[in-house]
Parts: sequence; structure tokens; C-alpha cells
Amino acid sequence: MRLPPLLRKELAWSRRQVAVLLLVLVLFPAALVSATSAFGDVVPRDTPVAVVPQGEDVSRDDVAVARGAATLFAEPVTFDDRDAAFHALEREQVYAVLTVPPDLGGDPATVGLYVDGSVVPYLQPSAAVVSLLGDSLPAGVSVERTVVGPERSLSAYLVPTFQLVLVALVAMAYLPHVLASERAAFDRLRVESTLERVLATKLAVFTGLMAVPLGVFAVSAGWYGYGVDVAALGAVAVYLLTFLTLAALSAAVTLATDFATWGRLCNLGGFLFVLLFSGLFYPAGFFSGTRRELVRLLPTHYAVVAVRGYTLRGASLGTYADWLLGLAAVAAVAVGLLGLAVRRYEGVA
Amino acid sequence: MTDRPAAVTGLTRRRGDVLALDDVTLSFGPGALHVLAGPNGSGKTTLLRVLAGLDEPTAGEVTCPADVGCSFQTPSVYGDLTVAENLDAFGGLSDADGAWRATLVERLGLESVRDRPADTLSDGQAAALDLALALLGEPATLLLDEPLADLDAARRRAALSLLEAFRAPERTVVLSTHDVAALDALCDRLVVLFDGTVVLNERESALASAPSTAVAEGVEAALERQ
Repeated sequence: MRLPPLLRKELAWSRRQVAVLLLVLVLFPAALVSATSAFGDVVPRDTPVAVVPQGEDVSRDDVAVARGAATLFAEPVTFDDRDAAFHALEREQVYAVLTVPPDLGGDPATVGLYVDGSVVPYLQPSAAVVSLLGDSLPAGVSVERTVVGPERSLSAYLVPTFQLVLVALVAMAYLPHVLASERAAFDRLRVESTLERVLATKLAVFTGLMAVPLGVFAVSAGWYGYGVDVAALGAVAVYLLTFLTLAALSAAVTLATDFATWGRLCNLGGFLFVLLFSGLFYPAGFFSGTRRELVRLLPTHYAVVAVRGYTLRGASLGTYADWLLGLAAVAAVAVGLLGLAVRRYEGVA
Repeated sequence: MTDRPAAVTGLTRRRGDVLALDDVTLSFGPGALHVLAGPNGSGKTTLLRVLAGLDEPTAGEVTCPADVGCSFQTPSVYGDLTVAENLDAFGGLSDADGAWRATLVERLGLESVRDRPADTLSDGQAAALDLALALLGEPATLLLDEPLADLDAARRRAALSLLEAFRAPERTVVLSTHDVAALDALCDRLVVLFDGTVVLNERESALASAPSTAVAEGVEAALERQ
């Protein structure tokens, strides 16, 4: 057995695949290392926290004192209205609500610290926040921590997370694989039907099939006694819209790159990006600075917050109605991009 | 049932730096079996793909027939599906007649492999399935890219007899092949392509020799001109 000819073949292969190898062996690792820097702190330091007066008799100075104390562990955001602050808490725009009593520094007073029981990664840090706040507020001011809604376990918190991981996996890895395996039939399909119809049928079937894992999640979560509402109407809508969006985008990439290897790698990169930067595991508030803004640009971030809201907090359908409409609009854009990719594929195929 | 005739006028098709077809003008009327011949890379497949509407012309005009059946050099089938499932899937798209489907399966020797996934078929069996799918919808126009290339003797005879039976005044068959001799008896018109241009375009009745001999003569003449 002679190895040199085989090694020469590998060398020739690597010369032909230099772009793909650069992507896999250089750019991906660099991107992954860069992604680790997004998770700098276990206990977040600049998480957005709402600061809201308890009543009309609270002065600007009182609010300023509370804001100053909160700056030690959070990025305070002042709200004038209590309902608006709690609405922001429900939408994970803030991770705690600090209610400020009048005359801080005068009579003994109690600052309220409200955290959401479903945002599990923030529950333990919020306990530490109580003592931090107590130390930095004027003497005589106590802090009372209240958990809003049912307090969930980490296991229950991860149910909607893994639902969306599955959605992304099927849409961005399995569906492109299925398309590639059927590529040989595309010429005949184009003659006897149209690619648009073929892909529309496939997307509809796959979107329908995603109801199966949804049912499995519901049954399994029930069996484990998590008490979460996996089949809430809003959650199902978000779940299916997210699948449709990601599936249309990955199919568009597959066709636009004419089933090239680098197209598959783009979809894989997109999958990892969605996993790392949608706030699936850690809420967006755990990221810092520009990375948090990046997370908030992604539709999948709003999907995961809404699914957590419907599934863990029992939110009403209307709570995230605007985000649902936004997700529907994004899905429509993704389907439109798929249409353009089909035209490009037909032009170059 | 008569479809608009497939035709190209001043057709040029470029793929990157490669000029696959250069200013080709041809029309394929009904009631005839048109044979496209020529060496590898002469433009036969590209012409068939343009006629099927699968490739866009770089320049020129194309009239694609509406009711088309195609076979391809690489069989265009669902590899994961069985022969029977492929026939179901594509037969459903073309409203295929059940009795005709059974005839195709029987005559092209697909009965014994009907429950096998297409990916597991031999090249000849896959080519037979591809031809069956082209004929399944009984289209007005057949565009066949080297349909005989991988077939064994029995399937080749069956394919030729199906093509003969398929010939009708309202139907058109355009077929590319390297084996014109096998089609000497069926060929109504011979088009020889060379380097993307038409070097011979004659009705069989106008040819001085058999079509298979005329191909060699046409290519030789083209080589001499170069």
C-alpha cells in the first residue's frame, strides 16, 4: 500500500476546497471564540431594571437615589407608570422592577424589587441584588423581593428554549438536507410543475409536521409535572411562524448557492448564530452593550421571549400581539426571499 | 392535442466562458421523430434543456411546448422513493392513465423492481424509470436526452417499440443520441450539432445515406471546415 498518492490526492482536494476549509477551520473557530465573549458574567452587571415611583408623592430625588443604588448591579430605566414597568418585565425588556417609596432617607421605607418567576436565570442573582441594594440605599430603607407569577424550575424554563432549538435544527439543518437529497428530481419537477409549488408544498408539510414535536413536548412536560402550557395558542403561532421563517431562509440559501457546500455551511453558521444570539438560554439582558442590541435585532429573540411568556407565564394572546404580527411580517419577507432564490436557481441551474 | 411546436431562433447559450450553443435556429414540428446527434459537448443536452424551459437562452428566441415529457442524462427521480412511488408522484402531476402506466412498467422491465428505492437501481433500470416517467403523461412533445444510452438490449428494444408506437401526427419527439444506427428505422429528421452549431439539418428522405452514416459525414465536414 502506497500512501504518497493518497496524500497527494488529499492535497489536490484541499486546494480545490480552500474556501470551504478556510470557513470551517479558521472563520468558524474565530466566530465561536468571539461568541464566548458575549457571556462575560455569570451575575449580570448591566441588566436593564425598571425604576418606578410607588405613587405621585415620590420626588425626582427619591427616584434618583434609587437609580443610583441600582447602578451598582444594573442599568436602570426610569418608568413613570407602574403598569408600563410591569409590561416591560413581562416582555423581558427589563429583568426587575424597583418600586420607589416617597421620602427615601427620611422615615423607614421599603423599596420593592419585583422579579419574574419564569426568568429563572435571574431569580438567584436577584436574591443577591437585595443585599447589594440594601447596602447602597440610605439607612432605614429596606428591600422586599417579590416573585411575580409562578416560580419556575430551570427544567421548566428550558422547555420553550429546547422547543425553539428543535425548530432551528429542523429548519436549518434537516430541511436543507432533504432538499439536497431530492435535487435530482428538480428538473422533472420544473417541467411538470413549478419549483415554487414544490417548495410551498414542502414548507406547508414540514410546518404541519412540527406540530408532532410540539405534542411530544406537551406530553413529556406534563409527564414531568412542569405545569407549563406548551400548547398555548400564542406559543403554537410563534413556534410555527419561527419555523416557517427559518425554513424559508435556509431553503433560499440552499437554492441561491446551487446546493454548494458553502451554502450548507452558511445554514450551519446561521443555526449556531440563532442558538448563541437569540437569548435562548440566557435572556438578552445577560448580554452586554452592543451584543444586547444585536440580540434585539433578531426576530428569534422576540420569538423566544413570547414563547416563554405564553408557555411559562400564561400570558394572554394579546400580550405579544405586536410581536406576533412582526414575526408574521418577517416570515412573509423570508418567503419572498425564497421566491427570489428560486428565480436565481432557475436562471443558473 | 397538438401542442405549439418547439422552436429556437438565433439561440445562443453561454455558460461562463463556454459557448454551448451559437446562433442556432431550428423548429421541431409534429408528426416526426427528430434525432439530435453530434459528439460530446456539441450542445445537444443544452438545446433540449432550453426547449424544456430548464435553461434560459443567453440570446435569441425560444418557443417551449406546453405539454412536455422529458428524460434526462442523469435520471431525474426521487432517489429515496421506490419505483412505484416515483410513478405515483409524477403520474399524479400529469394525470397519467393507469393502464398506460402498467404497460410502461411491464414493457420497460420495471415490475421486478417496483418496490425498490430509485437510489438502489442499476444505471439501466434508473434510465428505464426516467423514460417511463417521460412517457407517463402521454405528452404532446417528448424531449429525450440519450434515452437509450444505459439500456440493456431488451429494454432498448422495448424503448424503440414504445417510441414507434408513440409517433403520431399530433406528437413530436426530439431525441439526442450517440447511437443513430439504432434509430435509422425511426428517424424522420436528423440534426447534427458540432461545437454548438448546426452542421447538418435534413429530413431522412433527403439524406443520401442512412442517418447513422450521415452523422459521421456531417461531423467530418465540420472538422474539415475548422
